[in-house]
Amino acid sequence: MSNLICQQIAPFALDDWHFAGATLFVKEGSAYAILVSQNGSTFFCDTELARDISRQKPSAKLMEKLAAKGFCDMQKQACSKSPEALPTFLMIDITSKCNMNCFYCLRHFEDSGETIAEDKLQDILDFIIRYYRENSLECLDIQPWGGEPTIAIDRVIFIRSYLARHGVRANITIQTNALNLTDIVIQKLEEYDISVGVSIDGCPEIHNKHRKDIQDAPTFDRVAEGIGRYSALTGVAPGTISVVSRMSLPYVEQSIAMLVKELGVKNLKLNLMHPNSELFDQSAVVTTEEIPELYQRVIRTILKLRDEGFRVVEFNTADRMSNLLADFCPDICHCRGCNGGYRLVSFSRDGDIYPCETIDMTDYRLGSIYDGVSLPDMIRESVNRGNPYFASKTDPKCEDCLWLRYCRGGCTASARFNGRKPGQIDEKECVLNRAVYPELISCLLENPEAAAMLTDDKVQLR
Amino acid sequence: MDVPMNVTIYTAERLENLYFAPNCHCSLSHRKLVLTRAGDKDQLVIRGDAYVLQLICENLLSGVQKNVLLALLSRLPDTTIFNRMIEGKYIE
Repeated sequence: MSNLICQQIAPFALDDWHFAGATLFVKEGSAYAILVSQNGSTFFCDTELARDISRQKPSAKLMEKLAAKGFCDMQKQACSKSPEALPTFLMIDITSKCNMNCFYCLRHFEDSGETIAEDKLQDILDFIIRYYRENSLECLDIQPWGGEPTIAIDRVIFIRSYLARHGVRANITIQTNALNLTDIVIQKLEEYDISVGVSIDGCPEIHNKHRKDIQDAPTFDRVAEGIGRYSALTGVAPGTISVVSRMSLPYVEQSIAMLVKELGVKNLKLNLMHPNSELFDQSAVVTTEEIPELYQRVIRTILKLRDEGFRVVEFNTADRMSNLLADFCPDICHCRGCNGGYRLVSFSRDGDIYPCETIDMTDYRLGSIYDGVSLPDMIRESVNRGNPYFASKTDPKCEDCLWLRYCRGGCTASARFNGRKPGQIDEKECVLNRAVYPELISCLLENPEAAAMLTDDKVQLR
Repeated sequence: MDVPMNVTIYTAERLENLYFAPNCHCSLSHRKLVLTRAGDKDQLVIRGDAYVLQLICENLLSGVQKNVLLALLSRLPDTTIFNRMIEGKYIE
């Protein structure tokens, strides 16, 4: 973020327009500037227009454009409106069995777990089918999860077959540890149009520390083989999710480069490790002080790989770039804060419904498929009766935060497991956003093509 | 098809133009142009001559002066389209 200069522009009036104040980002040597309003709107311009704005002497045309972009007479709307309660991302817990024993796992059932009974699964699917029809939904995103979903692959296929038989359009995705990605399993997944993401925590040095099997043996080689096999059979490398702990920090660049160059991964996501309970070893969690540099390194590594000709996108970065420039990203957690419950729900194996798969605790429960209540009504009632999951998060720091529109206090589950009370913000997400958005602005002012490079060409500056 | 979200780098010259908003997706089929803002269920459906709709779409993608856009829109049966484009924030 070197040389990034941030200037406050006070509110002013011009003719009938009232400019509501904004923050102007400029960078030494750059021909561009970015103006960010208090409600998160952005205006990308050359330094000549930026000068007019900073002197509070914009032309009428410029003022008109700023008004169209939301810089004039705006109200602080960041947290004013609740989203519609119509989730289309549905997670179904199909098994708690797992052939790995990752040290940060949410669950720790290993292979002593249980797979969902077929009649229970059918009840959940019937509930989903009713919901789909009653609300005339076009398509659902369904993620059977666990445990390791390939251990219960027959249940995954049952979901596809049953929904298809009832005319429900759905994208079905599993996130697997890849140990079971044999030729037969991959062919089955292909046959039933099940998309695959793989969990791999980076280069062997770190992956093998994080992700051991239930015999406590390292798993990197087998996971890499699974990815290779999947890529060879389908012609496409799976997307990957890597969990980042403090132990990962020395290996960030190496891990990303390995995924891209050696395993051919094009879509990856680096997620900070969340403590999975109040008893979690906090010393393994990346600290708020370490977050800014971590994400700066991630962004610079992706840009370097793109410069080298590798087509790769890191979704946490891409989502934030889309927010910044286009005021939208499809992500449930990053576009307008946590949208668990509104855009996502998770079904437990016994038919209970939760607003997020990571927080299946009684006080956050929305209801059950057996309550005889429709899903939208269940969510609305849960919000109205004060389910702590939906408490608006506030902090004095948020008052003047430029990124509040996107962050809205961050991840509810992360806040909870980091010891925060309902309504308190997720400090990690706060620090992350305060670091990443200015870093993205810095990259854009250096080279506007960074927008396309960091979003796989989904956002382009012209 | 994935259409990129186009973000305009404004200069004095470009202030004269109107563009699709970055989060506006346009879908052109025979005699129908559908505008959708990402994350929004509402759509603006514009019907009319296929060639005129195509011109409107191309011009808004590359930037078009207001009077030119209004002239194109005047060739459509619905006279409220410009205001609805502005109010719905489909263009900027």
